[in-house]
Order: sequence, then C-alpha cells, then structure tokens
Amino acid sequence: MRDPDLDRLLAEARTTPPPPPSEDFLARVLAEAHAEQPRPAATGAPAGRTPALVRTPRRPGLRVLFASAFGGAGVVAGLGCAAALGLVVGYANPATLGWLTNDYLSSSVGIELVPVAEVFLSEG
Amino acid sequence: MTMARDLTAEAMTDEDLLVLYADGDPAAARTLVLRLSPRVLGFAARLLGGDRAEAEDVAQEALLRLWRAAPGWRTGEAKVSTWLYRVVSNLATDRLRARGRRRQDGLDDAPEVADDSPGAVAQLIETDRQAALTRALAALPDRQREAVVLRHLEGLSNPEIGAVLGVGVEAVESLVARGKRALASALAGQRDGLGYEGD
Repeated sequence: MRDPDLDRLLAEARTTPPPPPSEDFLARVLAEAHAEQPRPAATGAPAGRTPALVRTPRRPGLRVLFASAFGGAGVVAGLGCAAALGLVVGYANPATLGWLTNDYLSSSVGIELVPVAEVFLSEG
Repeated sequence: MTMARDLTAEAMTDEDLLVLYADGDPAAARTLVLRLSPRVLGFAARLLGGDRAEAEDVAQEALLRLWRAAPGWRTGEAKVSTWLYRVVSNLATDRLRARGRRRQDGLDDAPEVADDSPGAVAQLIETDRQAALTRALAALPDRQREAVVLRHLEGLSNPEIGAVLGVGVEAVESLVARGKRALASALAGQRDGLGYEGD
C-alpha cells in the first residue's frame, strides 16, 4: 500500500467516531466513581449514632482553675510542701541546726565576683 | 455549591474536575465519567483490535485507578489524559500478552450483507477498510501499535506520546515511522480489495 493510501485510511479511522459507550457501561463506571469518591469534609457525626470516642468537653473545675493560676498542680504542691516545712522548722526550733545559724548565717561573707579585674586594669 | 460548579464544569480542565472529585463533588464525578469514558474506551478498543467487551474491562479498570489516585493527585505534574493513556496502554499490553497474539478473525465473523445497493457497497468497503486496518494494527509490536494509534488515531503530539510511553521524541518518531511501514506492508496485498484501485 502506498503512503498516501495509508494516510487516507488512518485519517478515515480518526474521523470515524468509535461507538459510544453503552448506558450499562456508563452506569457501572459512574457507580464505581461514586463508591470510590472521598466524602466531603466537615460532615460531623452521622445522625442517630454517637461515636464512642467523641465526648463533650467538660468545663474545668475550681481546683483546676486555681492550680493553673499558679502554674499548674505540681507548682502548687511544691509551694504547699515548702510552706509546711517552714512552719515545722519555725515552731520546733531544732538545736541541731545551731551550727548552721551560728557558723554561717551570723558572719558576713565577702565574695569577689571579678577577682582578676584589678590585674588587668593595673597592667594598662 | 455544586450548582455553581455545574455551570462551569464543561469549561473546566480534567485536572480541575479531578480536584473537585477528590473534594467529594458528585457533579464532578458525573462530568468526568461522561467526558473521559468515550476517549478511554475508544483508545482501549483500538489497542485491543476492536474487542469491545475486553476494551470495556480495560477502560473500567483504568478509570477505577484514576478514582483511587484522585485524592493524592498532584496538579501540574501530569495531565489526566496522558496518565489514562499510559494506564490503558499498560493494561492492554498485559491483556494481549496474556492471551497471546490476537486472533485474525475480524472479517471472517462479520455478518453477511445481502444489500447490494451503491450506498451499502460503499459502507461495506469502508467497513472492510477499517477492519483491515484494525487487523494490521493488532499485528504490530506493542510499542509501535501504541505510537501509531496515539499519533494518527488519537491525534496526540509527539511530546505527548513520549510522555505516555515514557520515551523521548526521537524514539516516538522512530516508533511511528516503523509502525507505518509495517502497516503499509501488511496492507499492501489488500489495496485493490479495499477499493483503492481507482484512486
């Protein structure tokens, strides 16, 4: 077959529309398209069924609000312990702590924060 | 919300419609099915030698893969049509390889036509030509058949064919040229019988 004949044959085939899809085929494809299609977002829970893991959030109680005002329950507990220990020590006045109050807290202690600063300054 | 989309659905690209489909728009699903099905089915039928039932299976499978790929579709990376042509090509190739070479029984099974009026004779000649072309295409190597069908029957450009077949433009040109030479050779003995003797 000559090239012009083949080109004409191909052109005829191209312009000849293929048979349209049958209604049955379109229905099958459309059914699959709908079955595979993702559901739109933000649809909420289905009516009449409450998901087991979805619960209504409760309002925080007074204790929670108080603790959160001081930085949380752990901080409040630490503050409470320190206050209780201070009261105990104040009332008991234990003699065994005399070494601490007499030897350290009654004498002044000088601390040189920059001990070598004078060396640098003196050498110009 | 979908009504506003329906008004412009026909003007949207396949990629835009696929995004709407992935967002759950039912109108987009219907528009895509009506738009893509004829193209996909026609291409599958041409690759499969006109076997309509098998072409429907391939087309349905290709479109099913498209629906499943829609949520992860990245706009701008590939055209929907190119992606579908590639999937159909692969599925058709698998089918042809699985059943061996195609049977050469297209014309033998054609019904007898008793009408010998000029219009009927012309129609018969046209049918014979298309049947002969279908048989000759079916006898081509897979890649040559895909290249010739995409170029001369689907009307794709060489770069588009290259994207479908995963080869460069020069390879596409070579495949098309070799395919056409093989077609001409296969149809050489039928030229007179197909009504070309007086042309």
